[in-house]
Amino acid sequence: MINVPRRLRPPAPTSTRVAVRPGEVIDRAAPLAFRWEGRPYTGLAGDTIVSALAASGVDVFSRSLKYHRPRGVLTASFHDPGCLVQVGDEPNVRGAHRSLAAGMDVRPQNAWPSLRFDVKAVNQTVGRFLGAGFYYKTFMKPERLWPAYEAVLKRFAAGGVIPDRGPDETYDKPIYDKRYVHVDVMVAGGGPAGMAAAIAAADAGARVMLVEEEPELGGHLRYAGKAELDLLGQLRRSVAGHANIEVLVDSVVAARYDDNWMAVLQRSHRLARERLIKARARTLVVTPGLIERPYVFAGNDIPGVMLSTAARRLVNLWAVAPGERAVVFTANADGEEAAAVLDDAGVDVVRVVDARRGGDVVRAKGGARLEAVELGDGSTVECDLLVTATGWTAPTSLLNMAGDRPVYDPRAARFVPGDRRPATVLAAGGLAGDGTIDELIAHAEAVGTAAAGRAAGRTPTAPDPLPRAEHPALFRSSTHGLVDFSEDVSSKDLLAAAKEGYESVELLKRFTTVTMGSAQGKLETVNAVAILAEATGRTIDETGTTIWRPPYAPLSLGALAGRQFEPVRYSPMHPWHEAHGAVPLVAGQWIRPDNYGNPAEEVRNVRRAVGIIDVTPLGKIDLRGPDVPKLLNLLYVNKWSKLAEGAVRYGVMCAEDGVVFDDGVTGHLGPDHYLMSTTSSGAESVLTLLEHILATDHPDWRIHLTPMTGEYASINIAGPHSRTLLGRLAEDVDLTPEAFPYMHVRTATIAGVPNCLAWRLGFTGELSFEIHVPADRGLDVWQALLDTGHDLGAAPFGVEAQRIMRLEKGHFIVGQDTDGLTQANAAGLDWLVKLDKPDFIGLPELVWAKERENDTNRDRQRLVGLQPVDPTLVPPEACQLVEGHLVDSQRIVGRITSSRFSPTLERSIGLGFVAERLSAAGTVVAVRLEDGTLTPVTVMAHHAHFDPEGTRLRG
Amino acid sequence: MAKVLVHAPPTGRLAEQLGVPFGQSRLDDDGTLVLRVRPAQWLLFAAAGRGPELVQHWRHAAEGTGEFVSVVDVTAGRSLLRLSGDTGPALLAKICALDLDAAPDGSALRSSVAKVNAEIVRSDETDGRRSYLLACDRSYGQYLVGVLAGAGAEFSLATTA
Amino acid sequence: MMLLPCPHCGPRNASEFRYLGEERSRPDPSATTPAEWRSYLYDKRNPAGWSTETWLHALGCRTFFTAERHTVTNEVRSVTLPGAQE
Repeated sequence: MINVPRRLRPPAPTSTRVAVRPGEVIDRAAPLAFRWEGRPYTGLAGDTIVSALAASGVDVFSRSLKYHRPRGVLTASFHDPGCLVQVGDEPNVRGAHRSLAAGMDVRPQNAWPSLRFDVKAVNQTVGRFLGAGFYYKTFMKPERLWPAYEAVLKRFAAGGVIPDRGPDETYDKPIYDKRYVHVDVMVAGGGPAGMAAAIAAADAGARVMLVEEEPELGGHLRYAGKAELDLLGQLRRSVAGHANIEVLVDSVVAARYDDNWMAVLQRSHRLARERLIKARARTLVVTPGLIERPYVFAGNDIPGVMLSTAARRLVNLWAVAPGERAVVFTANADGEEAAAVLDDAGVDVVRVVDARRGGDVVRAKGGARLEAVELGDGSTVECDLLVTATGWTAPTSLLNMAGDRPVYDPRAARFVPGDRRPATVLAAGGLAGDGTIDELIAHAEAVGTAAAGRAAGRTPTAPDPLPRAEHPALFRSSTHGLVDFSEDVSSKDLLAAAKEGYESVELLKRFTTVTMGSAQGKLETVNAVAILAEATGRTIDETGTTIWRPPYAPLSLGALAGRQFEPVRYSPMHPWHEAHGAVPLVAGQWIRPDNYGNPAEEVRNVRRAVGIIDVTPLGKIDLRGPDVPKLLNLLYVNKWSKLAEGAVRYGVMCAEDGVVFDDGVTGHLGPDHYLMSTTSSGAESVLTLLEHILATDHPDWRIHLTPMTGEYASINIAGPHSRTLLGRLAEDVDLTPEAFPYMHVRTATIAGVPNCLAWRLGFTGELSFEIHVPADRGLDVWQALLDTGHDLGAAPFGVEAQRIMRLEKGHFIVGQDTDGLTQANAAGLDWLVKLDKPDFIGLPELVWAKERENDTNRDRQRLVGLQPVDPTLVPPEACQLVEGHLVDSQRIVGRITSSRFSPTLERSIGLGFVAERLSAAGTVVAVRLEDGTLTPVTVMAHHAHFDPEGTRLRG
Repeated sequence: MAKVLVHAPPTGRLAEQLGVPFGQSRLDDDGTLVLRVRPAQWLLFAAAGRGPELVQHWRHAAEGTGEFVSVVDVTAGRSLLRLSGDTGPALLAKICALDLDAAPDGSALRSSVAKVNAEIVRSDETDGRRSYLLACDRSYGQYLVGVLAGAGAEFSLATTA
Repeated sequence: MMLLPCPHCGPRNASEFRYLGEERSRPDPSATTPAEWRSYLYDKRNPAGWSTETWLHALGCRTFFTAERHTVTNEVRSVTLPGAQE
């Protein structure tokens, strides 16, 4: 039976603000108007969202994850699990941390349809069905219902909303910034120990960065008494007096990696919503202080039950009374201090229950607000505030990221740092041990001095570790309550999971999701371990703890993405392409013209008249020295010793496994001087390979390499009129076929630009000249070619037209028509590979590949020319080829690697791989199209569909 | 500006004549800036039009040393940017992971600048103002200017041709 | 991110470098067997401990060097230039 959800009482209209506190951070003369749940509220400058709401009597800020129970203040700090709110566009804002700003539109999350009337609160009554592992067990089978489960679970999922803006991006997008920092000493935590360590390190001459999560330095001194506030003033003045301390507030060291590389998140930067700082520090001092631990008992999540630090913060920082009648349950001096603070602020402290004298809290009673507390002695006390002070957790995260493993100290009843961290990572403050404030500061100063010394390369000894004070081991009362407030995991869930066999703390965590919520274990880890220890009859030490991994604090995806560095390369002719309607093509880092509107017409124009294409991205490497032929012979599968000056040769490079790696032409420009071209995409890896060979295997070879890709703008002039066109602009060069034959290179002055290179090549299958022009004159020459060639029909063509023409001509593209398994012979390069050379890269594999051709395996695939029988059909690239075009044999015998409609032949053409036994010219195989239908294609005699004899390009 | 690359043995007579230790640069009286950013490579920046003259000069200097030397004119291939002003280091710190405080005037380093391989030369103004030269492959020039403009918004970056 | 000590430039972020694999020597191509050659191509020691590796300072001075790196701690105990005496 399901109960109808209860309506909760409306917030009290009265202010809970108390008289001026000595350390208050609010400006009572600066009211800020904002909205909560759509209604107007007023806070003060210096308030957090939650303190402003609490000052107006609001005590419920969210609904819990699973059971949708009302949640109020628990810690009044960043980690407060019940205080996540939506602020305008921004989801999951830590309401107990985020400073209030005028005009904020704050809304609750995880409540539907409203905070006080929550339909999903029915979960509370069916809670027994939502035990540990509920989701795993219930939403597992059958698989076909997963989409339905997803829809249900989404409605119950926690978190705020990122508004869907659709394609309209005109709204003011938040900026996320990035910055690198180098310091000698990074101090993570700006409490008294952090400040003292930073001052001491700076005194020793170190460059220091001091990072504090709160909006100002001070840590627990901020909400302490008069003497502590005076000390805080001194420390702050001293920090401010050091030019070599950079202070970041509202920031956090989120992660520490190898060699003290750190991710520091700066939250309220003046220009950016968040800024990710990538910091390198010689030494790291970790001073996060201690985090107060909740107590596990029935009703411990009812609004009005909070930690002693939360009560002190509310009263002393924001002058907010957290209740009217308080019970204080304490096991230490901090609880007593909280009782004194509450009393001082006018709260009626009706009972102080001391755990050290056997006192206990058994049960909190109430709905949306605490109404009474049942004590260990059986009595019940009416109150609206219960403050607990039952112990501390040492946030060892950053130490763990440096390799340390926490160990349990039963005397202090907390996990403490181990001894497995590098000398460049130190700890101070409460994390390192206990003591009076003076002792802690003296220790931190010694740590800061040691950190500065180690940063300077010396090896000073670190100060002796601080002693730890005795503390009662207090985790759970005789009743069951919540352990993880973010994930709604109770102690009963943990006991049930342990009974099911989840006795390892790491497994327990993953099964129950304890410590996996927004607080990420900072509040719940020790209680979870203690309860597991209790369930399994082990000690806490034997049970161990989960490993804290990065990040220590949440980072938004925006901060991680930050300002993107995605290098983009442009040729000198790029402005022309843009101005003339080129459709851009992203080719690696290069932006190239794909076409200028009609690639088929661009093809026809080249075949008929003359076209020019920007091929600047081609890799170009200048090679100088007497040993260049040795290098070429080692790199390429063909022979290079006898390349005459002025001649050009095509070459293919393989990797040591015989797989085709790159191709291109190399020209012999002059004595001991060559220029190699590579594919655009292979330029970097070929350069690296060349440098590697020269640096490691053949340092004796006298060769100098200079990358020239950016030095030259490259233009290919192709078509029957290309010689005429170039002839009108070229000086100092004889372009006649006799003087400048196919596969040769000449220097020339072109359009008045000296020191250009002209190559006769034929990628498109036409008579063509490729010219390299010093890049600063590239645009001039491009324009001159078009102006001068107007009457010849000179027009630009793009990458698509070039790709069509090379396919018509049957020229393969490395990486398109070959893949990571294509050896040179399979690509049809037997004619090029010279197995009688003493050595080249990949030689042994290609020798063995040749030997295998004699074996009986005829399923081995080879690259062939293909033409669909239906000339209008252009099968998509990567379609499979299957045997027998009449019946689907299901037997895959190859695939299409390139496929286009040829404007020249007015039919579809392609290249592809097919089994050797089916590779004879005229064989018909079938292409399986995307919809599964089969269509016949014919294997051709040549890769080239057009002019296989090459008469055009040799003209 | 003219840019010339000299390949020469890291130690030897030409290295002595070029006279710049690895990782450093020198500004000659005639305005030529000599950088050594690789152990066996020197990059010379000089006034526009002086490229052929410098190539001739160093080829001539190499003759007679018996050393294996190559001199290549790379004038058109590299983009050059100068970053002047007190916020220069803060701006560079947003796009380059090097510790620039550890690089005194005259340092010539090669590193990743916004993921582009670039030369970074600290060459302060005569009045002592911080100044950096950035050189990268020409094709990255437009990208790098864009990145600097984006990163420099908070410093009121001004650009001069 | 770990630092790697370039023999010329000193410690730099690992992202400036390119890892080129464990150091190994190429068998004589005229005398090798398929088993030996493929072991050279594909067999890696991949130790949880000290590893001798080739690195390239790709986004820096483009020096190739050999580093002895501990794969668990990322400590680098030596870097040598090619051809240098061990």
